[in-house]
This record gives sequence, structure tokens and C-alpha cells, in this order.
Amino acid sequence: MSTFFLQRGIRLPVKKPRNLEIKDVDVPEHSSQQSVADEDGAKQTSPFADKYKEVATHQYVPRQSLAERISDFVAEKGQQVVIRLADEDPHSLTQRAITESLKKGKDKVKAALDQLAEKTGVSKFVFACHKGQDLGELVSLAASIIRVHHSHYPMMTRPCLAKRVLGESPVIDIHVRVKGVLVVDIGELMLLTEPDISAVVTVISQSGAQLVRVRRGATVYEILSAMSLLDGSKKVVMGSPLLGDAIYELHVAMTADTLTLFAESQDDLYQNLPCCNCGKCVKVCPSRLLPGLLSKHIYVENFEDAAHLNVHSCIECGCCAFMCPSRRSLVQFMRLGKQESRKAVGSHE
Amino acid sequence: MSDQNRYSVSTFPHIHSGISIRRLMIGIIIALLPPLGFGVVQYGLPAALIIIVSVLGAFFTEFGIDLLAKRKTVKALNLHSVVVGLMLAAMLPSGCPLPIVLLGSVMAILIGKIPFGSLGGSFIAPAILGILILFVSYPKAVTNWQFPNQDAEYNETYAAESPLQAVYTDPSDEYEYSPVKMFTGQGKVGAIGATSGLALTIGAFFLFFMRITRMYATLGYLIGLCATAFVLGKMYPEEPTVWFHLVSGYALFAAMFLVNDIPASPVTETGMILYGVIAGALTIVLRWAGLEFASALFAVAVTSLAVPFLDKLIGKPAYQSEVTRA
Repeated sequence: MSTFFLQRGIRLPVKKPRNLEIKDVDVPEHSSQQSVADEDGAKQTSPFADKYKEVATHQYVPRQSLAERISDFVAEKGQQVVIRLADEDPHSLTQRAITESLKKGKDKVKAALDQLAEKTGVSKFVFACHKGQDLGELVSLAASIIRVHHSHYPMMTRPCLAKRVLGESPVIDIHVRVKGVLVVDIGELMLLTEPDISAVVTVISQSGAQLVRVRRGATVYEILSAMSLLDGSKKVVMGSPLLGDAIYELHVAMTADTLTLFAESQDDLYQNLPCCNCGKCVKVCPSRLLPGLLSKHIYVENFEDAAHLNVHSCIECGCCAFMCPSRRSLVQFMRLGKQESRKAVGSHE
Repeated sequence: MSDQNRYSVSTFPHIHSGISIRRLMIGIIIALLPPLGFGVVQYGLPAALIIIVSVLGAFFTEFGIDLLAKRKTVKALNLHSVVVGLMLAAMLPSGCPLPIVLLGSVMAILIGKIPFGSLGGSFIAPAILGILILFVSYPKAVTNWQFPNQDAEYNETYAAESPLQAVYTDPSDEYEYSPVKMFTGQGKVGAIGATSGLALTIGAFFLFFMRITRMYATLGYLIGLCATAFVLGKMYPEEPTVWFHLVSGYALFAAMFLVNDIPASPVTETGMILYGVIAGALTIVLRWAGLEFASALFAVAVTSLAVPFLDKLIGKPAYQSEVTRA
């Protein structure tokens, strides 16, 4: 009951994934380097596009690889490693499908876990999966299992899992990296022992989500042309609909486990109308902040008050922006507030 | 680079729940229909005219401001002004003359909403501000209660006595009113939308069920009102009973709609409960101090001044930050 009140979030209208078959797609190498990044090609919908170029055009959140995260992770008493067997965004299916294919491969997973134990110094692993998800033989490998309802977001993201295993508030840095808890996706884990030249990707388009196995390192353009999905999309997101980064050109290597295509350019997704003070954002905020009030402070560049209202505790899950009836781009406000108020704090010292 | 290869970018999330201000407002309008419909059935044509004049006055005031400000998007189309008009009409007696109704709804938008940056900035619910302006300026017109099913004309001398006024003039009158009839509103003298507690409860439960507002403020208001009325009843035996306080006047309308007003109510759970409790307690205190008519309205209006402070009672965030800890 206490977790129900303390950890909020949203329930998404996502059905339980049933068909987890992975289709093989042969991605031929695209030889001609015809396109170069053209920043003018990207439409800016941010109210800060002119003033804060750094934030407004900031596209890729620094995503650390598993090796980097392991080197940052110092195993001390009470620190834990979580193996994530389901996806952080309920729209995505990749990790669930990989788990499904490994259900009878206990030895393979055991070998990978031994490798991870050697690198981190932690020998007991917490598994995180969906409620009702069948883990098969893998159950015996887990020290304990966290089960999350499949439509409940953001309970599978790194900070939320860290909070759940630590039982107290974890410490996050400005890029929402958690200290003290290492969260490893099952897909990443398997790469430790079995280097794989193919990668499983969920492609979410108008016709629904489909799982494909593609060549690792292929560009988005190559994947889409091999699947003949190149036409008809106005917005391409590297990552899931809730957490991915929109990309403005397709000749970049596929780094996420999900690719989302939108048929509309979504120019009216964020209208930035004045906050109507309805409180929907406060209701869903898993960090118990006041996103509406914070965005008002940040809009008038009052970064000191934003810092006092704990803007740095935002885990950038996007629940507030998902619910906002005024269509405010709240995540962007939070990121701007974090960046600028940290500068202000730094200049005082 | 051809046009086809241009992709739009934005921050995540790239999907939206689809909720909009207009949708919230349509929900509140639907929730206001049962109490207002009951008022029209009970008080007839004058009540319907008051509702129409109030809504049109509020809507076209905001529409005119949009035209004057030369806005590209017409903000009046988010229907908040219609909600303000309906709420104001719900609080008026059916004997209120139409020019005064029009004045009230225009003032509600012009003074209660526009100067504070349109929707979301108001520190008092615009509808409450509108009726309080009328109450201060034209007290007799706003308390011109009419008996149900009576051809109402603006007639100061033949105004009926509302139950609250009657009981405060002569406490023994309380035995004339049965709790059930007061709650359902049959034959009760009162404001157009605030007569039937049953219809108000149905409307409010629609709001809670559709997740348009949350019920913390309503619960807080009911608790604060009942507790204070109980304590006062123990101290002063001639005071009306708890149930009478609950079903008379604007108490239920304030509990179901006014404390849940979108711009001027708190957003945190703690804040909402405290807001309700303070407003409920203040309602009884003001009634006890001798303000029979608008005690609930003044109570909610005064309490909403404290909303910025109530909202800050949110506790520690669930995640600590390296930056603020250092």
C-alpha cells in the first residue's frame, strides 16, 4: 500500500504483449553517403530555441555503455545489481522478447551473470520483470524478483527500480544517472559472453509494434529501407515513444532497442499554453515535485526558485508532459532549469 | 536536402494522453447539468433565462477580449468562460433581475480572470468573485429568493425566506425542515443550482469518476464543516444542528464545485485537504458570526488566498540530487 502512494506514475492503455516472435530482416549495407546532417532541416518547436541553443538543440542524452556504467559502479555494502527482463517503456517489446527466447537457456544466462559478478563484485542479482511474465528456468538464478504491472510507467526506469531495491531515496546526477545501483538490461547482459552481430529492435509504426532482428550497427535509414517503411513518416524517434530522442536525419547508427515512427509531424504536440493549475502533473510525478509551478518559474528565468523547489530531483520520465492539458513541454523546462540553475550555483562558489 | 527528408524534432514524450483544457471544461459543464437542470425544473423559465444570460455574458466578454488582444488562437474556445457563467448562474436566486446577472458574469471574467493572465492565474475562482461583487453592490437582488413554481418577478417586498435566514431569525423554525427534503431540494427555497444536494452530489461524483478533479478538497470541506458545526453545537445549544448546516445555503455547492475549481485550488493532496478543512470551518464560523447568506462563498474566497502557501506543503522529493546535496 505504501508503494502505491509513494511511487506514482501513469497507467498506459497498453495491452499485454502476446506475440513475441522475432522476424529476421536482412539489412543490406547502404553504400552511398548521400546525406550530411543539416541542422536547419530540424524544425524547432521550443520557446527557448533562440536563447538557449545548447538545450534546445540538445538531442542525445549521454547514454553510457554497460562497460562505462560498470566502471562507475563501486560495489560497497548494500549496493545492488538489477537485471531488467522487461522494457522500461511499456510500448517497447525488445527485452521481453529476448527473455522469452532465453527461457530455456539457463546456462547461457548463468555464464553471463558469472561474468558480471566478476566485474562488479556483486554475486546476488535482483530480477525486474512484469507481473505475470513467465521467466521459465531463469527464476532460479534470481536472489529476488521485482514484479511491475506491464502498463505502469515509469516503474521500470532506472531511478524507480533503484528506489525500489534500496528502499530509500537514491541519489541521481544531472543526467539522471543513479548512484549505487547498477541496472542491466538482459540484452546488454548477454553481450558480455556472446558477442552478437545481430540486434533485436522493436519498430513501432502506424501498423503497430513489430520485433525484428537486424544487423548490429546498421543505420536507421538502412533498417527502414529494408523494411520498406521509409515513406510516410514525418517524425522518427530513436527509442521508445515515451523516452526516445527525435532524430532529424536517418543516417545515424541504431543505438537504442526501439525505433518509433510517426506519420504526423506533431507540430501541435507541445503548444505551451499557460499553466491552468489543474494539478494533473503533481498527481503523476514519481518524484513528488510541482512540475507546473517549476515550469512557471523557469519560464520567467527564475532559476534560483526552481532550485529551491528541487528541480534537480526530476528523473525526466515525462509523466507530467504526458498528462498536461495545456500541452506544456515540461521535460524541456526541467532540463533547462537543471542546467541553468546548476550554472547559477556554480557561479556563486 | 529534399523536403521529404525533413523530420521534426521535439523533447520526449512523443505521445500525449489526449487530455485538453476544453475536455476538462466540458466535463465540468456536464457535471453542472444535474443541479442546474433541477433548478430549471423547480423554478421555471426565469431560472433558464438567468443561466443563458450568465453564460452568454461570460463567453462574449472573453471572446471580445480575445478580439481586442488580436490573439491568433481564440482562448474563449477552451470553454472556461462557459463554466464560469454556469457556476455564477448556479449561485443566483431565480428572482435576480437579468441586467444584474449580466453585470455579474461580465465582472467575473473582466476582474476575476483577465487581469491575472487568463485561465490559471486567478487567485479567487472567477465565479465567486462575480457573485461577491453582486452581493456587495446589490444585496437585495442577490438574495431575492423565490418559492418554487412561482411566476417570479423582481419584487423586493415579496422575496421568500431561505431556510438559513429563517432558522437564524428564529431557531425553532428548524423543525419545519426535514433533512431528506432539504437534501433532495423538493420545495426548498434556494439558489438555482445549489438547491438540490442530491443533484450536486451526482454532478460531483461524475467529476471524480471521470478523473477531472480529485475528491480530497471535497472530503476536507465536509470534515471541516461537520466538525466545526458539531463543536459549535456543543458550545451553543441554540445553534442549528450539523445536518442543517450541511444541507442549507451554499455549503454543498461549495463542497462539490467551488473548492474543486481548477485555477484557484491547491494541487497537492495535503494542500487540498487543508484547504477544504479551513474553508469548511470558516463557513460555520462566518455563519455563527452572523453572515447567513454568503458565508460559504466568503470562506472559500478567503481560503483561496492561502493556496500558494498550501501548495508548498509537499514534503521531500522522492529522489535526492547530487547537485543540491553538494
